[in-house]
Amino acid sequence: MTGKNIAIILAVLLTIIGLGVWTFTGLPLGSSSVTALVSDLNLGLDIKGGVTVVYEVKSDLKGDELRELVNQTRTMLSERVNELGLSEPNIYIEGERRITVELPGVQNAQDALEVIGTTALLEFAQVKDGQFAVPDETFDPNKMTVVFSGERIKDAKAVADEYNQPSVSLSLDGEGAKIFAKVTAESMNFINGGTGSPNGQIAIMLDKKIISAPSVGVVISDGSALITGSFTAEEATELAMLIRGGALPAEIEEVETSAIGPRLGQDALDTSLFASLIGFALVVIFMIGYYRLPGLVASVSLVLYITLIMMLMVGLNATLTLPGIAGIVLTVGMAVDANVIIFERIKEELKEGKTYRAAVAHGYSKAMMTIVDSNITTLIAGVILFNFGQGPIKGFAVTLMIGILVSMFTAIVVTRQILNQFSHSKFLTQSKFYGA
Amino acid sequence: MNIIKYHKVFYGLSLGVMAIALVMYLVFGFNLGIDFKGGTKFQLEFGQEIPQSEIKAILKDFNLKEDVIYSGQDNTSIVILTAKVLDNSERQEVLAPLVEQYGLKPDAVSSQLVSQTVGKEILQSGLYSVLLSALGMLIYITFRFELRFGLAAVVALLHDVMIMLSVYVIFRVPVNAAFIAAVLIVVGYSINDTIVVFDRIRDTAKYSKTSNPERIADESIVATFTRTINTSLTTLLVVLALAIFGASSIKELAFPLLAGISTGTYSSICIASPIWVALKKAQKSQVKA
Repeated sequence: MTGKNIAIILAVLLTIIGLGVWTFTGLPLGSSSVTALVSDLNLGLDIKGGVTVVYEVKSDLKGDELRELVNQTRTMLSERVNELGLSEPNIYIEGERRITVELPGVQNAQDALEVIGTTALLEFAQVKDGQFAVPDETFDPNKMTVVFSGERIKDAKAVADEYNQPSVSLSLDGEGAKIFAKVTAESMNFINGGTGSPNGQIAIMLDKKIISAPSVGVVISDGSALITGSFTAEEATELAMLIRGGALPAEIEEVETSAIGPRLGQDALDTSLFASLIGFALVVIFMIGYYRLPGLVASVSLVLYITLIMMLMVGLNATLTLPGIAGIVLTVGMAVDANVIIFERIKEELKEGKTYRAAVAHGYSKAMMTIVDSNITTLIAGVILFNFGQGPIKGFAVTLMIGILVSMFTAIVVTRQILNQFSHSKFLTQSKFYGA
Repeated sequence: MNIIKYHKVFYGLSLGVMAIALVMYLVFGFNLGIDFKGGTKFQLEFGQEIPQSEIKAILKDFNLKEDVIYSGQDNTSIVILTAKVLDNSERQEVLAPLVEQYGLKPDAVSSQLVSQTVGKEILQSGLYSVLLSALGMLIYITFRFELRFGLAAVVALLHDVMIMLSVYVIFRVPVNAAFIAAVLIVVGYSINDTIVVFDRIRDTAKYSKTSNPERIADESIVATFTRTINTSLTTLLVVLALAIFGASSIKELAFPLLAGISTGTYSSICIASPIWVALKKAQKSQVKA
């Protein structure tokens, strides 16, 4: 064995160890320490704890209209979630009419759910004399008086006013119309120089937060009003939507909830990692026990395999969940398979009396097609699952596909490279090390 | 080694298992878990073992008809399952006396609510995926090998799915979302295993002196036997570790997987190969006629 071969083997080993350390433990290098790559990994809520709620939007609408409605609802839910001030909440639409809300790290699931799920309160208030209300302000009883709430609103629509500017039209029910007539009359009285408490402004509030504060321009007695202002068409649509829905543009129903306490999630992660480690150790013991030297080489490339999977998960910004861990551990079985196929072929070739170098070359070329065909068929399953599966199935499909590709790389390229370097050593090529 | 000769025994064995499962299915049905039946699940970490009867006594007034199961390594954690769909405030009510009695912190409590429809959709999309995958594989194998290999591989694949379903029915394993994952893992594993054997058959057929499909198949099975056993052994070792030490949601997967992976191995040798032989013979007799 020449110095060059030893150098190559050492370089490969050092690279594998280096990548492993970087990925799993990091390096304490004084002040400029390298943190472990896995600490950047997104953990699923089943591990780090948190709340996942799936809501279903109740509506008879179909097609584009339904899509629009679900989209608006999602926007509204995001706003409410943002009010909780959580880090990295996640809200996405799943399927046609489902909205999934993920709240990582929430300790008390029930409180969070109440904020998100309940319908918000829409109120109209008269602003007092000497006060001025601006949007986004919170309700202050010293500044304004609530005159009626959302149930008096029959409809709200985004329309164009007489100057073709986007505005919002309101229509009130009988009782609402009566109150509104009185309020607007008082306002106009004030605006026209009369005395009284209101200043002529109406504040529209959602959950005690002002969303719009138009000034009254005319006495409105028929229960239909027009809010004008410098709206864009979208702002007008959004305001109409807010007023109409009271909060959400559609009724939502909680169809699935999972609230995982962070401690339980951590326990689950610990036990699963422990189980994976045991499983991995058993595979290594078996491989070395049965295949000797190549088994050792395969075990080294298995370490690389798991390291690369983790690096890819971080790189692709994928999320590690408990089923995902199970998926990775199971692909270890498949990663070993490629090696087993190759070693069995090499053993056959050695038994036929071929030299080590020829046996490795023939073994690989014969095993290659088997490995490619068997992995591509499994990959087909992965691609289809990814496209048609839902939720946890998708996550599993991602791990499966990554696993197949990486395992082919480690078995075909890395293991082979090491075995090829061995061919220069008389000692390392003895048949007894290969079980032949 | 003569494997193909005994194909009737293998077919009979598999059909027998399926028949038992069918009868049990007609009598008992699937043991549907909350993911498919709908319901509520709580998990509580007590830090010590609490008698199940104590929990049941506390929850008696809610009339939940609940199951109380231990979880975690030292039975310190308890899972409560009920078929009732409890909304947010109802869940709070149920948890309140437990939290009070044992001074549980919020981070040690988990709850889960599933309505029936969600589970049904997951199941449906899962089954679609399996069927579509089978079709995709059939096309690929036909393209790379030939139609007879593809058909035999897909029959073996569906056989494995049927046996998995049978295991769920016969052993009353609760069917949850994990069920789909288990079936999918087995589908991926089984096809992989079958292709390795078929690849050898294709190879043997090319270089062997005999043109007797039965002998070709037997020879190939023997040649790949060590690989077949070693691969399932390593995979089973891993699954076994998960079954013994894994978290409860992973454990639930492990038993059906043990059964499914063994079936996947069995079917490549005892189902897929004989079917290929039968198809090959049918082709030959057609040519002669």
